Amino acid sequence: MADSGEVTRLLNRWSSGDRKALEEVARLLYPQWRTMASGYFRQERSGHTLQPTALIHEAYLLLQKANPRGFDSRKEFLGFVAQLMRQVLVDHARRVQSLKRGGGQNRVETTDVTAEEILSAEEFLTIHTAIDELAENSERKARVIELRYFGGYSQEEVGDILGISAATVHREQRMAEAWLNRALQRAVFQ
Amino acid sequence: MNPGRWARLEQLFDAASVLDAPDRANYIARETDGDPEMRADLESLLAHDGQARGAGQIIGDFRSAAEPYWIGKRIGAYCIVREIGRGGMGIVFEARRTGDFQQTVALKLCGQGAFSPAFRERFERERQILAALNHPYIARLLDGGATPEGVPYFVMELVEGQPLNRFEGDKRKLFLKICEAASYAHGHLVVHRDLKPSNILVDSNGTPKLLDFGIATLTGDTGGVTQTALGPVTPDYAAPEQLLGGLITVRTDVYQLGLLLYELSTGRRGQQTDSSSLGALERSICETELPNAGLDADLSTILSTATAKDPAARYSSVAALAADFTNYLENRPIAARPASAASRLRKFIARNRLATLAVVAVAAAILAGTVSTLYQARRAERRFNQVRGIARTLMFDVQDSVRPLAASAGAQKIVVKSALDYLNALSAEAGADRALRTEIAEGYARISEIESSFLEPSLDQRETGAASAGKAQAMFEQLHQEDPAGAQVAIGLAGVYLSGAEGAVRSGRFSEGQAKIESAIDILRKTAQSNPGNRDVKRKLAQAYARFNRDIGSRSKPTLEYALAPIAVLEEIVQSDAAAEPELAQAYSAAGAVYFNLGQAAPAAEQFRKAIAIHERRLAAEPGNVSTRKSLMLVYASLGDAHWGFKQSLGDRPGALIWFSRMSAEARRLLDANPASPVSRFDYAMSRMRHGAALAPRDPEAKRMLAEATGIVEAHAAADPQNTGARRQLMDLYLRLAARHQELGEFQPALAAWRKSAAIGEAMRAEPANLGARTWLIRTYLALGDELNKRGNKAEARALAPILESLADEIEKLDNKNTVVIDLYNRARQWASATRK
Repeated sequence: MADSGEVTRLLNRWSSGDRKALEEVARLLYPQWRTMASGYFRQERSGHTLQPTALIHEAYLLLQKANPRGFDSRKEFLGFVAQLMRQVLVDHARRVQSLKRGGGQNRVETTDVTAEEILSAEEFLTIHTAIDELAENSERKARVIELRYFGGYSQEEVGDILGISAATVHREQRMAEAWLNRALQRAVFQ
Repeated sequence: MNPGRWARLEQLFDAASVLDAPDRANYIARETDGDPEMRADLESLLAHDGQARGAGQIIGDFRSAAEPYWIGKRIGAYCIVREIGRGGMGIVFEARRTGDFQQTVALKLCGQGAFSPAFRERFERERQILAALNHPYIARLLDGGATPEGVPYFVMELVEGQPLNRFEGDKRKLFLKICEAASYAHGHLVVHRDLKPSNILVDSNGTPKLLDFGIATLTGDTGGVTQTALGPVTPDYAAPEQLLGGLITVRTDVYQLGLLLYELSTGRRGQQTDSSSLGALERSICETELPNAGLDADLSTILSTATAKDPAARYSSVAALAADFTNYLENRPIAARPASAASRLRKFIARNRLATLAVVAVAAAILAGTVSTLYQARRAERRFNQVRGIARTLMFDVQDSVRPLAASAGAQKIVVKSALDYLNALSAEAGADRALRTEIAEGYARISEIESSFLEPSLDQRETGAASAGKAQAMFEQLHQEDPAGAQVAIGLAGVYLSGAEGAVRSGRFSEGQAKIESAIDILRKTAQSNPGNRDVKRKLAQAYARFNRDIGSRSKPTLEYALAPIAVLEEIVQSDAAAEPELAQAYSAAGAVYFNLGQAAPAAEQFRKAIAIHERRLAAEPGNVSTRKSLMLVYASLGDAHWGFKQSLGDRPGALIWFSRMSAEARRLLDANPASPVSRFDYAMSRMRHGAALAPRDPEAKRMLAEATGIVEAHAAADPQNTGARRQLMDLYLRLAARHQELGEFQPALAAWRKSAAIGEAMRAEPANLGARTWLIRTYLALGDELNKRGNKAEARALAPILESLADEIEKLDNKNTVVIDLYNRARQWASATRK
């Protein structure tokens, strides 16, 4: 369990502009988050879909408990959630992938994993790596992709979060996608 | 890559990506002259632009695969059996209805619809329209609702069959049947807008079933990736006006049916969209004609007439198309004439170039594949959406050219007038046909609703609105008389009464409004008895009760029966449709208020607690929702009042304080979330005042809270000299502050507070009709006078007597029948005469 005092401290630092602190928080809360999120991957959870809105609310509650004053910057929080969603999916993809190599103890929750699912996971991981490479050239494009695909936010919402217009989001996304598509193809042909 | 080069690459990509083929090549050659590496980079990126299975799709697919399985879970009253498929908007499951009958259905979970109250209202209205479509060739919409997270779902008739393009049998007969279904829907004033092969299933008997009638528009806009990931978006079946942002009409369906007929006849798609650029997209939909497929001349003519780019040049109705196709099949001469296609096309293009920025944005959105219909892209343009909504549900002939952004009053008038003409013509032919007459009445009701929802109804719009409502009412009443148990008619009639009541209440005719709502309630109650399983009747009944409580109950003496009645109804509805929860919470609060006014504090408290439970839960799920938080704050206050502060309260001050402090906490949060808003500042002041009022005598905290509240209201009053409400509130606050000072034996501060109150009151007294100022002045002087008497300042006390008497006289002249006021000025006179002695 993350120490709530520690989390509060980090959140305060984050609200005074320390972006690294946000990553720290994510790392601290990640185990709880994963348990919660993987509940969404299991059938025990009463039929919730992996909706960003549902997870955001859960995350908000979790973080509210740690920091009762609430988030100072909702926008940063939404970005944070998107990052977390991405980590959760990456984790899941790695576990699926490990089944290919006959990974015994880390069984994925779903009982049957097909070849298509493994392929899907591998493609996903390639893109995940490519997003980080894209970030080296354009942090903003990588953020747009993250917010759109992992946060599930609309172009307007992404624009609001990043402080740019929806039209700019659209342009950024378009080139980012072209870049990622190309990266994927190159990886496949290696 | 170094930042300079990257920035250049971005710039080039952004510019080149919106150019079409020849321009693009030129641009690239020019800009990358002498830099082959940049050119190669740019070209390879462009090659991957808009790729069929792109990064977004892959991420989405993986996410969907990772999502939990619904199998075996419950959504509403249904139990999920298996996944059938994924469409453009959501996942479709086979589901079984739990409970009495083992009905197998198709349940579609739709995207990520977050349910706002406004959206929900529209959703409900649309759902009812679609649920009324009852035709053998249309998949029936059976039910709908929302999961607790707010994801909308639809329940439809489960259709066993295969998509249209895999059908092997008699395609001609099939096409005519499809036309029949589309025609029927048009008769119900519904345009499909998405008649593509994947939306039409055919069973083993060759019976077609149209799916997804207008459902695309019910889910609102999302733009999130899950939507695109759940299925490719294809503009291949879009009609030109859909791309250009024009009015969607019956002729849009005609266009799509034309494409369908082409595909059935040739086995190939009639329209191949080129999404490499905006220009290319526009050309492929708005200019490129159907490819020559070596078909019979007559059939070709029929096809080109149906798929004419200019809607005015197409068949005016699906029936006309079907009739001409039948002519062709039976070797009779067809009605359509091969047009001078080139000239008509030129005229059309000239009128409709992608000129406006908004339309460009829409087209770009289609290219990016992030929206499946133009409707979703337009959500910012509310006015436009109003007309789109009308266009979607009304049927009319477009006489003049397609106009983008046709939200002008002129366009609205055309729409309504044409619909009315159509309905009037229909009623002339209706005869004794009950079903048809019901549809016509519903049509009139809908039009009158639409007219009264225009943003700025003109005088003659209001008149025609009233005329349409009158026609609807007359027809419904007649139908109801013929069959009192008919649920659909009863709901329609009740609806007309409720709309009429709304108009009456808005104009101040309360008894008329009350009578209408009571009639609606009466009809619906009886109908519910003869149709016990019918949820639509129950929902309408709950709506009628809620209207009563909202519009009438607050003005006359509310009855407990009307306050409690909607609760039972809503509690049942809420089990399958979480979106009705705010209404249920509102009903609990209203019932609590009625109980309290009748002097029953304990049952009142119970109702308030139930309302609180709902609001707290919803707030936990959505902490940013201001209206939920405000509702919660108000119910905390009500529950506090129930515990202490009034004659009929439970007399539990500590209990009340618990609730008042929660109220204060919420008011604080609302203020923090919106510190600049005068409303949240005022609410916060009021919360401080109420909380302070409940504290025990001599509690210094009370003084502080009142001082805080006073500070805020003083600022309000200073900023807005016209605000008499704020000034009266200030007098109230000063009096309370004075009382608290008195308790602590602080006479000078109490005196100062009374003086301030008196100063404000005397200033307002200059207004001859200001009753509030005078009543508060009496209260001020009485309090001051009592204190003076206690201290033995007889002279000063006696000086107040004539002031109080003149105030009493002034108020009496204002002829107020309010017992509290009468009581007050009598007290003033008594005090004055007692003091003179």
